[in-house]
Amino acid sequence: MKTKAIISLALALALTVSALAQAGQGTAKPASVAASGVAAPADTLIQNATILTASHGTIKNGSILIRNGKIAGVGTNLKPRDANVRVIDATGKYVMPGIIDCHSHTAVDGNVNEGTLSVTSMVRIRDVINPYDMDIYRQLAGGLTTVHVLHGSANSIGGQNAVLKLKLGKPVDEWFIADAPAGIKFALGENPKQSNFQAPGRPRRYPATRMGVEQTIREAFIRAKDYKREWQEYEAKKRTDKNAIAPKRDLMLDALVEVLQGKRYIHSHCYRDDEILMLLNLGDELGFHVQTLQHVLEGYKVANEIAAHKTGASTFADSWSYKLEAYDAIPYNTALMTARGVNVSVNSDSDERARRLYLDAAKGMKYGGMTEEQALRTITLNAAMQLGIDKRTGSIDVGKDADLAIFSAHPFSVYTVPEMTFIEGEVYFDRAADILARETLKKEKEELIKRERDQRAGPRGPRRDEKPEVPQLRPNDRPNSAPPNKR
Amino acid sequence: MANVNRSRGWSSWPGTGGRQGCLRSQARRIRFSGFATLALIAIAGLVMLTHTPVARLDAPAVYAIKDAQIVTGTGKTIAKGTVVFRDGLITDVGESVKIPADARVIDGAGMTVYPGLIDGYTSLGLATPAAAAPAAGGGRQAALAAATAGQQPDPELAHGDPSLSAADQVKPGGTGMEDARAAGVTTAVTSPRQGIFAGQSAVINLAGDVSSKLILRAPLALTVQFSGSAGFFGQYPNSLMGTVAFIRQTFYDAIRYRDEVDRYSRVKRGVERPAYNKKLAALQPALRGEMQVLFVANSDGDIRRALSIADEFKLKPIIEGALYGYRVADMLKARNVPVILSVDFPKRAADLPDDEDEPLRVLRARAEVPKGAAQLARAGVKFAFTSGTLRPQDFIANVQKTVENGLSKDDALRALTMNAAEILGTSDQLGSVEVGKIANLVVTSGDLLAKDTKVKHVFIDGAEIELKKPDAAPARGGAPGGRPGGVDASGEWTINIETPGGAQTVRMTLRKDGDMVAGTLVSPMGNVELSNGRVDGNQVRLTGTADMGGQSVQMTITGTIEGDTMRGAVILGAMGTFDFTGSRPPRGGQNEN
Repeated sequence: MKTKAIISLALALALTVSALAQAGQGTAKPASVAASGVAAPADTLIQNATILTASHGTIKNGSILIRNGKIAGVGTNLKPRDANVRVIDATGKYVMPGIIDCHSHTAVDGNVNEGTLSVTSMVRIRDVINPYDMDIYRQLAGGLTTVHVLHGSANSIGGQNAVLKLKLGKPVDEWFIADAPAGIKFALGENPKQSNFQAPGRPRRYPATRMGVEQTIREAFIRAKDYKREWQEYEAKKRTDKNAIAPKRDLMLDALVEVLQGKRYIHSHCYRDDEILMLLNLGDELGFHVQTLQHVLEGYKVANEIAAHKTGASTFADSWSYKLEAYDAIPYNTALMTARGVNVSVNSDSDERARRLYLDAAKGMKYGGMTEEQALRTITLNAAMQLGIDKRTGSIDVGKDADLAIFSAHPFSVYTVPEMTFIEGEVYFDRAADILARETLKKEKEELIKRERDQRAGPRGPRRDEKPEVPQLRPNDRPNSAPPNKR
Repeated sequence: MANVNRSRGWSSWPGTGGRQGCLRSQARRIRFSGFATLALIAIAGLVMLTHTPVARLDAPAVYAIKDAQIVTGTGKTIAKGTVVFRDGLITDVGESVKIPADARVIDGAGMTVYPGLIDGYTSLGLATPAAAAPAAGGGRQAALAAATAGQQPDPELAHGDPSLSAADQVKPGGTGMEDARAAGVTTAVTSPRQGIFAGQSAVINLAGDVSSKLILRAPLALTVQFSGSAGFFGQYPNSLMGTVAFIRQTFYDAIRYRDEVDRYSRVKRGVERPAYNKKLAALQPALRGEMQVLFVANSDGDIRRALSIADEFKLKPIIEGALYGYRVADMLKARNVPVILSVDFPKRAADLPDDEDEPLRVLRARAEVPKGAAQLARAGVKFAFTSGTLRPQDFIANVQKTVENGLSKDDALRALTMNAAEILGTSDQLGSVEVGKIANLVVTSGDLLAKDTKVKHVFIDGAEIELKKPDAAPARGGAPGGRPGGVDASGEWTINIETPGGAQTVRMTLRKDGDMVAGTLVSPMGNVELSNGRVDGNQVRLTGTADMGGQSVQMTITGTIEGDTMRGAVILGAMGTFDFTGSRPPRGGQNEN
C-alpha cells in the first residue's frame, strides 16, 4: 500500500498546488518558488547524484554544473567555482533529462480539432496555447519539461503543431522552442474517416473510408504543387511584367508546400499496418517525408519498412484494444520496433498519463527487454530526435539546455517521487517549496472566500434587520395569487 | 437639433438650409453612396414621423443651468457656475456667465453637471438579426436531414459580414436606450454583433427622433471577434485556432482582391475583370489603416491573438473587453493600443451553494479583475469603459467598483468621458463641458461615482430627455432583483428556438432564488446552468455558459412573459440571436394580470 500512499500524496500535492500555478502574470508572487520559474543564481551545482544521461550511460556520485541555462559540466568531480553557486545535494537521488512528451494536447484553448474540414493545415496550435492550464503544473510535477502539442486526429491533414517548454509563469511567447522544426498533424483510419460516428446536426463529411483518406491527402498535395508552381511562375514573371500580381496567399497550401520543401515535419496518427504502409508509399509517390508515426500500434508488423523510411515511431507503452483498430496492439511494440532500428518514443496523448511518463518508459524493460538506457531514451533523447530538437535537449550533455528532473529514487521504480524540475536552469517545480506553500495558499483561499461572503451578506444583511413595519403590497401579492412557497 | 420637431427628413441634412449646427459637420463625415441613399433616408425620415419623440415637445432651443457645480471633464471643476447651450451646442461655461433672455433656466443649486457619459461598446439601436427560415419539421433530425441533403446553413451566421454598417441599421427608441439615458449615458458605440467579421460600428447619441440624427461618427471601426462562431452547424471554423486562421485568410483574400482591383483600374485590355466582392471591399479601409479594427478580446490570450493579427496586416487595433488585459498592460502600453474596458466582471453564479468549493484561480480572478482598470491606468494605457452585458445602472455601479479597487475617480470619470471621446475620434465634439462642444450633459444630485447619487437631468444634443421614472428603473446599485413586483418566472418552460437548422425544442426550468431567478436549460447540445436572472416587470433576463463543441459560449436569454407564455430571444455569443416562443403548464386557479 505504500505505492498507493505515495501516489495519492503526489496527486494531492498536484491538486493542491496547481491552483498556485494558475496565478498568472501581474499578480503578487506567492511564497513558493515552485510555480514562477525563479531565476537561478549564476551557477547551480547538483552534487552526489546518480545521473541517467540518456546518451552516455549512468554516472554514479555524479555532479552537473548549470550555467546560463545550459549544462556546463557533467562528471564525478565538479567543484563550485565560487561562493555564488547554488549547491543542491542530491545524495541518494536520481537526475534524468527533462521528460519530453512527443504527443500531447495539453493547454489548448478551445477545440483541439478544427473538425469541419478534412484538410485544415491552415490552423495553428501555437495561436491557442493557454499558459494558465491547470495541467501544466501537474506535468511539471512529473518531470516533464517539453511537450509536442498536436492538433487532434479528426482530419486527414490536421493543423500545425507546436513544440514548447512548460515555462509556467513566463509570457507564452517564450515557451515555444524557436529553432524547433515546424510540424503538422496527419491522421489515418477511424478518426478522419468518421464512418462510425457523426455529430448531431453535422453534415456527413468526405472521406468516409481509408481509401478516401488516402485520396484526400493526395489531392491536397496535388493542389499544393500547383500552388507552388503558381508562385514560382509569378516570381519569374514579375521581373518583366509590371502588371503581374501575386497569387492569392493560401494558408492551407502554404503549410503543405513547406512539407514538400522538407521544412515542416509530418507527425501522423495511425494504428494499422496497412494504413502505415499507405502513407509511407504515398510519401514516396508525392515527395514528402513522414517524420514520425504517432500511436502506430501495429508498427511492429512493418518495422522494417518504417526503419527504411527513416521514420520515427511514437507509441503508447501498453494501451490496446480500446477500439477495433487497436486490437492488434501489443506491449512489445516499443521493443520490437527498436530492435529493427526504428527510433521509438513513448508518449502520453493525455494530460493525466503525461504526469507519470517515466513509468510508461519503464514498461519497455518489462515487455521486450529493452536496456535501461533504451527505455529511458523513449521519453528523452529519442523524442528530441523525432522533434528535431536533440541538439538542445533530451540528454545530459555539456552544451545542452539544463532541462533536468530530480527523482527521489530511480525514475523507473514505482516508489519514486519527482522532486525538482528544471527548464534551462530555472526551477519550475520544487516539491519542498510546494509543501511549504500549501498553508499560504490555503489561507489565501479562505480569505478570498470570506471576503466574498461578507460582500454577499453586505447589502442583504441590514435588510433582514430593518423589517418594514407596514408590508408593501406588490402587484403579485394580490389575494388571488398563491403564496410563493406553495408553487 | 434643439427642437426636434422643427425639422425632419430632408431639411435636417446639410446643404438644405436646416439649422442643425451640431450635426452639420458630422453629416459630412458620412459617406453617401449617392442620391438614392438620400432619397431612402428621406423616406425613412417620413416613416419615423410616427415615432414618439423622446425629447419634451415644449423643449426650448436654449438652456441655462445655473449655480451648479460643473465638472468640466478637462480637469477643471467650477464650484458654482453656469452652463449655457443653444441649438445643441454649448455656448458658455463659467462662474459668471450672462444667461440669455430666451433661455429656459434650470436651478442647479446642489447639483453637479458632468459631460454626458459614453458607453464604449453596445448594440443599442440595432435590431436582433432575424432567424433564418426554419427547415421543415424540427429539431436535431431536421438539422441533420438538411445537412445530409447537402443544404448548408448560411455561413454568414458564423463568418459575419464586414460590410454591415451600424449606421445603416440603427434605429432610435427602445428600452435599452431609455435605460442607458436614465443612468446618464448619452453616447455609445453601437456595433453589429453577429459572426467573426461582425460589421462596422458607429458612435451614436442616444436620442433623436430619426436614425440619421443619432449618428455622430460612422463608420467607427471594423468589429472582429474570436468567440462563439463555433461552427454551429458544422461549418468552418469550429475552433478558436480555426477562427484565427479564418481571420488571417480573409485578410489575405482582401489583399489579393485589392491587387486585382488595382491592376484592373490601371489595365483593362487583356485583363480578367475581378468580380465585385462587397465583403472584401469593406476590408480595404482597415488594410489601408484608415479604419480601426475593434477586436472583441477579454482574455490575455485573445488580446495576444488580436495584436498578432494586427501586426501581420498592419491594422490599427482597438481592444474591446480586456477584462484580463491587466495581465498584458505593458504590452498594450508599449504599442499604444486603446482599450474599451468592460466592467462586466466575472461573477459568482447566483445559485451556487454557499459552501461550493471553487478553485483558487477562480476566486483570485474575481478579486483581481475589478483591479484591472487601476493597473491599466498605472501602466499608462488609455481606456474607455463598456457595460458588456450589464444593465446601464449596473454599468455605473461597476465603474464605482473600479474606484473601490484602486482607480482614481478622475481616471474613472475620464474613461467615461474624455478618454472615450478621444478613443472614438470625437474629442472635438464630446467628452467635456466646453464651449463649442455638443451639449450632452448629465446633471446629478452629487458625486457621479458615489453610491446614492441620482441622475436629475440628461441633455442630449441640447435637448432635455424625459428620464425613465425611477420606480421603473431602480437607482444604481439598488436591489439586484430589478423592480419589485415583477412577474413570477418560475416553472417548467418548454421553449421552441428558431435556428437556421430548424426549430430546437429545449426545456428550461426556472426557480426563484431570493430576488433573482435561476435555473437550467436542457437541450440536445447539453445542459446550461442559467443564473443571475432578473425579472423586471414582465421582462426576464438570464445568462449562462453553453458548451458548443468544446468552446464556451456566453448565452443570454431575454423574454417577455404573458401569463404562461414567453417569447423572446436567445443570444449565443457571436453565433447569433435566435427567437423563441415558450410556454409552461398553466398554474390552476391563478389570474396573472
